[in-house]
Amino acid sequence: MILSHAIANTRAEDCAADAHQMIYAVPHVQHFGSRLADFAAAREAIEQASINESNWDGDGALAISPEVKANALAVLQMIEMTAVPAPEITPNPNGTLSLEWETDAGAAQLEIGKSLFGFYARAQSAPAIICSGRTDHLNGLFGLLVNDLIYRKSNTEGVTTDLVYASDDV
Amino acid sequence: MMCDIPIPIDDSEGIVRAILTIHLDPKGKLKTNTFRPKPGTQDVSVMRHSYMGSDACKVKAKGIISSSAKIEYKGLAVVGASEIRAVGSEVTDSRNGMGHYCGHADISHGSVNPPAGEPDDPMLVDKLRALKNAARYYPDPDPSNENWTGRLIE
Repeated sequence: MILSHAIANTRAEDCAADAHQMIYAVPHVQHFGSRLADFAAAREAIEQASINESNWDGDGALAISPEVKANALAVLQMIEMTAVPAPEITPNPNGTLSLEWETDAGAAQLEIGKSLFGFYARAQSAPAIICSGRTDHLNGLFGLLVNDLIYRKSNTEGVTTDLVYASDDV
Repeated sequence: MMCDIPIPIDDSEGIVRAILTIHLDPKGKLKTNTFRPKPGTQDVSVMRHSYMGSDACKVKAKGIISSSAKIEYKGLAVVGASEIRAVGSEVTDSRNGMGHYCGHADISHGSVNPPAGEPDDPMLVDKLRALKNAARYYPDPDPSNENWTGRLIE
């Protein structure tokens, strides 16, 4: 399946849903084992990464606000309903939290702010999929997209896309 | 105090980033945020290892940790100045910056600063990943030691 569309989308749910459908609409693999525990650990990581003081990295980092923490917990709950494995949680100097996934097949990152998000995903040797918008437009479809892109390697082989999503409501 | 390090940074120089707990995944590998910029700027604080040496880099790296934060110093990561420029970022001497020192430098990614508490441009992740993949991480086997006792950094 070859994709060569450039699409501008203004709603996060459309962004994720369209990209997911265009890449592959296939049943998802269930991840067994410690998935529940992994998500519990991710929630705990968000709690621990929500640092109330500024300059926590010694280089001027902003505190992670309660709004960012609440947004990250809400997104995590949404994507837990999908088949994607639990993400790594990373605090960022600008006071945001990132949910990160990386496999041999590629990498994805959902950066959560007070009112905005930024999404990046790149399967190996394919162009990046970029999306940004308001956090209240986020939903679990990003989990489906990440799962298809970097956890279902065989499905992304041969896919080329220059999908670029730019939300104009940010 | 006189600083006798030349201001221009040659492509052959080794550039060091202090590595903290937040920069490592559970497997001890560098995360994408290792080279994320400071808030309100597109700059990342680094050190000119080719001139400062490993001991001095370690002292500065340990010195940035806030005593009240749950963040620990873990080691040093080195990336070549040429590798930084290869991904489209720049590294420049910044000894005269606020609170900076002889040997301090900044990597600049050249993208737009986001508002406080909001995400960076997602396209920046491409550069951050490329730098992370280019960097060699040297875990510090003895963080409490005043000197660098880990593998030779080159």
